[in-house]
Amino acid sequence: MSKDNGAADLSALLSAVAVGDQQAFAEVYDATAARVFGLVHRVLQDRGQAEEVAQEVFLQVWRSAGSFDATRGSGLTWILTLAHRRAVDRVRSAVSRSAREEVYESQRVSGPRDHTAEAVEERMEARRVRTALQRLSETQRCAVELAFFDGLTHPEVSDRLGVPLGTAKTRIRDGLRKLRNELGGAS
Amino acid sequence: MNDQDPDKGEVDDGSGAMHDLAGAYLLNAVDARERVRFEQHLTGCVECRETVAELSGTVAELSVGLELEPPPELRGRLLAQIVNEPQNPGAAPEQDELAQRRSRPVSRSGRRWLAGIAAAAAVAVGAVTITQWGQDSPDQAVVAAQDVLEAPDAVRSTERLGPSTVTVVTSASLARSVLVAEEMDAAPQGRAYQLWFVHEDGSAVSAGLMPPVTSESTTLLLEGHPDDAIAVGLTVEPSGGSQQPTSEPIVAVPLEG
Repeated sequence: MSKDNGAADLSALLSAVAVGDQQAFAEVYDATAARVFGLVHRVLQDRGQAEEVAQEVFLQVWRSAGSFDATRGSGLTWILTLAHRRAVDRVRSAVSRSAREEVYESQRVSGPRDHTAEAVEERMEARRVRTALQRLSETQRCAVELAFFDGLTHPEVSDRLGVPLGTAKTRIRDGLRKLRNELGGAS
Repeated sequence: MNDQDPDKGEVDDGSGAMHDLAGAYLLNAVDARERVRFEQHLTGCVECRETVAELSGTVAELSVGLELEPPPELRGRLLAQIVNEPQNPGAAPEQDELAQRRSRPVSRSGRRWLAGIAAAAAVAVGAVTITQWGQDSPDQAVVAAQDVLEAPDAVRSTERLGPSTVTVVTSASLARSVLVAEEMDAAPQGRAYQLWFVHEDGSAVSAGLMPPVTSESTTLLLEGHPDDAIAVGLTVEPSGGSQQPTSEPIVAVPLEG
């Protein structure tokens, strides 16, 4: 399952995609599809919808690669930001809510025997993020998780947590800041 | 969808309510109207622009560990679709720079090395040294790196890291591992390379600090025992080392079995 694609870094690939390089697009896909699909699937909890949204995300990457600005963040961050936004927009639509399946856990293929270097690095990094999340206050962590993974709006977060709206907003912001400090500002 | 109460701070009344929305905006926890309003606010607020720039990478990291292979048909479908899909205009990069970058293959590990670590990845060249570092537990016979390298059951696993090569040699009978790093550049000023035995669940146990790189090849007997570790990871840490990794690994060498 090793995804060492031996290609240039993502920023350079996106620059190539911006001028219509289809091979570069394929490489961008290969480098990021699992991360995009995994995120979208977690938010939507439905393989079919996740596939549709993932397709929309990559089409958007193709169409708007020219607006990616490498000085403002990494290519991966840019792509994941697009992906999260689309997933959240979809999860809030009436169609999504009625069609969601409840089989999320059984569909996850976590590949416990995948010990390629890349899978190991991902696992270490996932552990680091989980540990960092644990260092947030309970409200900060819940607010961030409800918003990010479940696609709740901040008023919905404040309702769910039973805190004032202003509190929900500042817990989200402070939680993200603390998370960044814990993770050392990696992009 | 939501009943928006204007008294609940939706309006930019100058009291900083817009600034407070930055976190929610980053997590897409805003509705369409708020998004437009906040993006409008961004055009005039340096502080919020900096907050968004600073934290968007962190938000992206929340998705680590969720990786899931998409259906295989998706790739082919996309490649077919883009053939006739128009693109929005954007600045085209220097063709020469592009060609240069694309002609230089870099492994995914190498990319992190280049992108994530402040030091320049130059190549160091010199003579071979063998270094033994760390305390053997008192009830164990002293094991030297050479013993592991020459053990009849020695198993080797190698990863490339740009121009560098990192090999882990493990002897199950001696229950020890040795790291051999070739053509590695010195760690940045005030930092050191730290080795970790990594387990199935991603947790890491320190296997020691690499002594300063002074030659073409560095050999290091790792502290502790491989046991059921699935890999040896290498991170850049403060010079005294850390209890737990504080940054992404620059390379991970999977262990056999």
